[in-house]
Amino acid sequence: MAVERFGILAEYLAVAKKALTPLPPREAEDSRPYAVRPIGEGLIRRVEGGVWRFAPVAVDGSTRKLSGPHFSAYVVGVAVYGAGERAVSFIPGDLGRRFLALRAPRDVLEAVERDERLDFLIVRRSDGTYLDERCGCTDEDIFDEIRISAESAALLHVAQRDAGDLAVLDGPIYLDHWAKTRLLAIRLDAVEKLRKAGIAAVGVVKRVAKSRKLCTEEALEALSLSVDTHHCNDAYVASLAAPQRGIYLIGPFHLGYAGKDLRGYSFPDKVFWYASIYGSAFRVEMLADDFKRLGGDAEEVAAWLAWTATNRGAPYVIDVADVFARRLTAGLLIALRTAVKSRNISLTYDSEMEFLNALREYVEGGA
Amino acid sequence: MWKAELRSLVEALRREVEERNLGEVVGRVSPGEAASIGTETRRVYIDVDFDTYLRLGIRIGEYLGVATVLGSAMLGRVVEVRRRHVAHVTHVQTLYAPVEDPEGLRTPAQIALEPLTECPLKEVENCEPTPVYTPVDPLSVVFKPSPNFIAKMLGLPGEGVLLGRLYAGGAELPVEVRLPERALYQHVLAVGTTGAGKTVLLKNMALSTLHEIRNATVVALDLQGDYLLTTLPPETPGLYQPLDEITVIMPTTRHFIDRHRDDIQHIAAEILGDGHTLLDVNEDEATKAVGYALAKLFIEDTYPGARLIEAEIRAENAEVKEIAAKVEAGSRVFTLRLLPWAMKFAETYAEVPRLFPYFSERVSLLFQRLIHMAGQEHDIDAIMRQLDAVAESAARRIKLHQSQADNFVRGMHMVYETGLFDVSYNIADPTGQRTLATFGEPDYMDLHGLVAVDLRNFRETPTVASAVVYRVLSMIFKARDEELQRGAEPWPTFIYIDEAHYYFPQAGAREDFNKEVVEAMINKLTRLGRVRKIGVIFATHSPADLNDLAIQLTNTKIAMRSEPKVLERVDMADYAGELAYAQSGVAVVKSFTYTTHAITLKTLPPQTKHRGI
Repeated sequence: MAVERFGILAEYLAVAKKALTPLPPREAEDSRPYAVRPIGEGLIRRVEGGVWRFAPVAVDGSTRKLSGPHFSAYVVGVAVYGAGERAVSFIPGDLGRRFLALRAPRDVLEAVERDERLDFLIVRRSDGTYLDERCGCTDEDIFDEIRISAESAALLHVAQRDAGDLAVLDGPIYLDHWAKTRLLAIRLDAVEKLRKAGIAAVGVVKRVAKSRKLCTEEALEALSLSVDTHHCNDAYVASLAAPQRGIYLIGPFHLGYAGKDLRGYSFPDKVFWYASIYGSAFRVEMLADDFKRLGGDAEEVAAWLAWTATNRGAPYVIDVADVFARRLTAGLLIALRTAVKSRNISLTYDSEMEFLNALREYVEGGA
Repeated sequence: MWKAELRSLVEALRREVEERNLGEVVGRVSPGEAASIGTETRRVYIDVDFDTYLRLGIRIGEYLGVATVLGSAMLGRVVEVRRRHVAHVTHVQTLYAPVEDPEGLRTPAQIALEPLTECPLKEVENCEPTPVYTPVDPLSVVFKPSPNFIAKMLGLPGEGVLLGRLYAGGAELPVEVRLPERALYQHVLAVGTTGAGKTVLLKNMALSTLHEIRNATVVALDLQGDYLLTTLPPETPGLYQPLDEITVIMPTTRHFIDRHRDDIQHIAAEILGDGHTLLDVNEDEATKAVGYALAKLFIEDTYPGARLIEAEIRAENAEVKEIAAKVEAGSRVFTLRLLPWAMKFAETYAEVPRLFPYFSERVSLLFQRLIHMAGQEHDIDAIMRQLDAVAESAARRIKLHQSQADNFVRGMHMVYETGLFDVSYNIADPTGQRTLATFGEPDYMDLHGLVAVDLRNFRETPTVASAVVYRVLSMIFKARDEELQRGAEPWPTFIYIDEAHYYFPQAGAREDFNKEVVEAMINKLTRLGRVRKIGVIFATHSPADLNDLAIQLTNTKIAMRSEPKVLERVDMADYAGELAYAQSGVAVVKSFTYTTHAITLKTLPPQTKHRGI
């Protein structure tokens, strides 16, 4: 399907004449003010292993970009592991079909939007504005947009299936960026539907070098650490807090946001832990409400995710879903690049590198 | 071809399989692997989703069907099943926790299939399957074939002797494997180690032969008494009923008579009643009483606990010809047709050098003349009395060398010692020896149904057993030959020879045997037997000891559990992996009647009483 329809899309792109202005880089992360406090005492716990206790559903999204002077295509693939009759379900696939966001001149976007054969395309942001020359967005915004939307769509499917009582997501439970409230609403709606279905959602954040949730006075004091908060991130704090040899859980901590945003959305409170796996770290987080509901099991989930860490430093279930998602987007990118190149549409150097990277991952099986 | 056409072609395959009831669709030929049909290797890979894999439990050796994009229907055998956990698929390795993720089992199974035969898809019902020549395209439809489709595609005949049921993937399928009558005339060799199920196979085949082939006579050489039990039911009822009648050729030697002299006298007295003994009744009554006693002894020995209900004895000129006995064994009543058997020297001496391997080539050539030198009386006792004189006379008159004369004398003593010639039952009375019963050979034209040659008394004397066998088989051959000479259609006769190496040894396997005689007999039965409607079924656990000719002249080979060397000897080394540790009853059959390849089957359980091991 993809190859054929990418051909149709490429026909439109081939006639695009107007070069797109480059998008600005994303500004520094700016989350809403929050307060972190430890829950209880004994915040450092060694994880000793145990039985393979949980069988969660794992949801992971992967994104890639292919650009030329006249367009940028953002591909998303979501893999859901352990939710259905098959081991893995996908977007695009049995969980949904929209997987490609296109930024291009307005006339191209309008044309492709009218073409019913291209029903897998996303040409507008969730607020309805076109992804055209004047979109006022960054690449990261578009990636967030398509990934959060697709992952949330996948979560809604999970909520409709008898898929156990635990869903593990790759990334935070929700984004706490002040400008992403639409995405917050989409994600929280999906998480709420999971909760109604008796499924607790747990987020696993692997990239923690820019996170500073443990860099608060209260958290550092609770961990008995003296760290210059101006030169601090969570990975650093975790590496100081837990011994370098062994698997440790640091937490739990309560995270609360102050006030509401401009549109009146409030960010629900979270509880999080850091898992330190022989020095490398990832964050496990869940809504405070789920933490309460799960009771003692909440920390057991975090400990189990830490104990099943893989050689790539992620919990096993997330890593499995991640490989499938990456393999999927690698295949899509290769197909898209083939279709585009066959119409003599030139690509940027970075895109060619991205293509080669995808090709390597695809051949190696995405691992 | 346009896209829509291609799509409808691929989709139509599934419909075709379902509408023709070829089987249940399980998947498609994998688009991710090359499907290869070559002159050397044929491999097709199939993706089967996890639930289907679980439900069908596909196993190695099992049959699957393929409806190909090019319009062929193929039957193939599963040669490999690949199962991978998600952790393997993704190359994800946990650092510390052993992966016990059951969800990861839900991966598709990949099955490697070796295509065996094909037919045009639209003519499956009326086609002769051929080996596979047509390429297999990815997305061809794969199905679990119906029993009918399997039978059709393997070219299994619908008629003939039932060997068992098709065996694939470690399980029996509801598909009968039969060997057509014409294949039996080109002879069969079954090999297998002790306990592999040869005897059960042969006994079941014998029953099926009688059941399926009109007017068939089965002659079974019975060293262990296995065939004598075919009148009794098995532990669990089978497909065939036990026989209602059995004919037993019972070699009655002088040693046997001597051993049972008193028993015969006592049993005869019982049947005669009123305190009469064999000497008190007329000749005919005495002969029949001896016949009755023989039957009773046989039944006691063969069917412990059975009762002789009644017996009708046919005798001519004091010779016990036949005892037709009604026997009750448990809930079964059957007819035992007992034929006491011995040779009359006067009638058979010309054959003696061919029956016994005791005489040198020169003595064999002169044997008849040497016997004639003994005078007119050609009973063996008379000859033995004049043996030294004959040897002396031969040395003088025909210049027979002393060593040859010695060979003749020694050989005749050995022949005499067998006790097979001129056997009678005598009792001393005041007037001297009175002969009450003699024994001879039956009318070989009058052998029908199952005829067991009871060789139990010759387990330790293969030379004597072989002499009996050669004589009986020669005479059966002669009977069929006479029918042919008369222009009549010979009656189909099938000779079942378990432990065939015992009677037909290979050079070096046994000391006292005559290679030419053995090979002449095999040649006669197999090469000449074919047109006389004689089929031979050899079986042995030791083909190394079986004569080469028996291996060469059998066009159907059945191999059961065996050592690789054994299989090599019968040109079935290819099946060593399958058969080295096969279950009892599992057999591979290679026959010209199965046109494409060998068939693996499992024999039926014993259809009549079987002692087993």
